[in-house]
Amino acid sequence: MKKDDLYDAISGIDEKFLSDSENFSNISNEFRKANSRKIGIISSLSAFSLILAMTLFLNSKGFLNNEIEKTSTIIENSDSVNSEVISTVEHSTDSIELDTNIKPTDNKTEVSKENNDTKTTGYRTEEVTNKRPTNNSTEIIEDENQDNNDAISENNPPDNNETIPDADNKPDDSDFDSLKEDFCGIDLENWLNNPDVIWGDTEIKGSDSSEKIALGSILISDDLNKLMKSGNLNDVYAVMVDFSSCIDENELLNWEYNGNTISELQSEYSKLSSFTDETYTYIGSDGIEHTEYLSSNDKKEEIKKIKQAINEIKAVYYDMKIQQFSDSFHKNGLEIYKGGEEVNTIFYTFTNKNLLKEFVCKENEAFIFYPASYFK
Amino acid sequence: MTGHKIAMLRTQANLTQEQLAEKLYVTRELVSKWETGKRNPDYKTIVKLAEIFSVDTDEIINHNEFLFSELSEFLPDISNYKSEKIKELLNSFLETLNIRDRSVFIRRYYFSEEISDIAKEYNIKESNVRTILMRTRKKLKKYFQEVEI
Repeated sequence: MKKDDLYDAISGIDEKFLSDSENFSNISNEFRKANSRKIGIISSLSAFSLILAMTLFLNSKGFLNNEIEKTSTIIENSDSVNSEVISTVEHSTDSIELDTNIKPTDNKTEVSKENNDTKTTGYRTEEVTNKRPTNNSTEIIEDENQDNNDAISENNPPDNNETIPDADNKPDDSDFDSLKEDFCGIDLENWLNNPDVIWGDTEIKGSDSSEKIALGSILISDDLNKLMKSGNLNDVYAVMVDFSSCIDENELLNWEYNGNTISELQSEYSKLSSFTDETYTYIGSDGIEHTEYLSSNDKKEEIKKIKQAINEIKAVYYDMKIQQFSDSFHKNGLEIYKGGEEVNTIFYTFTNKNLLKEFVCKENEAFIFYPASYFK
Repeated sequence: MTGHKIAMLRTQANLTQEQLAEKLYVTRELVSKWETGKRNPDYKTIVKLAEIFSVDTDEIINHNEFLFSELSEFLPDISNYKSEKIKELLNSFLETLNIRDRSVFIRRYYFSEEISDIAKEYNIKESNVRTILMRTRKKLKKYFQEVEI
């Protein structure tokens, strides 16, 4: 596309849309409204989840029935219904603490911090999935309030009498309610040319790492954690992802490509390698003793071909795996970028703290995240 | 800045805003808006301006390379299509967006504003601006694919 064509197209944007965009306070209000709706929905859901979880827990302990009976008796005998109900709730919470050693569930911030700590040392998918609602609600509420000051709060809703265009009638108006950062589809060049991307200085190259983690889990390396601790929420990090933990070695060895398997090629390789160890010694015309490998040149050529074939199978297999992983990464708002030609169990991605913290993988996947220092 | 360039060329040509407006059959207010960056002249007008000032169009338009590459990959090759059709489609696409996303898109690509400036204007986070832009570019690509331009 020519620049002039693009200029021409953009310069033809409707005057009404241009004027709309200049009405900064109205647009700002639209954003605040959407945020308020989001917070309202999340708060309601969180409260509902909390009540539901407590009910299920108490019910499972056979606790609720006893307490309901007690409460009913108290209510019947009391003049002040409200005070007795409150005391029942407090009593229930204390009982949970004594019973299970869990901290009071009304302290959202503390729970959230604990979750974060758990994640820094690696976690299983199920744990994340279970803890997500509490974690999300805390983060979003804190985050949005920071940016929009006290204008966004359930106690302080925006003025609904403003005469602003009714964005609710637009087809995709609800999008902002579920606005999650999304780094999918961004061209690699954009990241490489972006001076704000934070790169690491680790020398780990994926396969160098002997660290293995369980399927269905991810691990954020200490190096990456340290790097992220010093950064802001909006910072974007270049991350190297090692997927060797979810490679089934047996499957790889027996995976057939172009009529070959790595297993067969390796046994052929072993035969040739052992044969090349046979040498013979002779005295040359120069009077010096020489040692030569038997038919070494022929064998070297064959060995090279076998190595290439093994590498080719690995490369295709890893590519296939990376394709499968891209589904998980896209669901987490991230894009996968392959490095250079080297055959390895790594790829690269670009992410910020939030997206990485909330990353969830499938049961048959496992990823270790390192700071990327370069593209091989 | 395109507007700044127009103002400079006009002054060099010893023309008032009113005289330039007369030559282009537009209002003086519109010329003023171009010069202050509140509006951009369309490409046909840029061609006329280039004729009046005896310069190349590239000398008037200040192409923002970064914005061009950011957006162009999400648009089809429109060089073979009528300019009016493209404008019509772009406006119909913008109509499908909510007022917030549309305004963020316009501040970025029409007014060539920095992400940090848009965030300040609308009192939102820079990351939200980036996300909206990314999402809108993808929608734009999908929209043009669907209409099979």
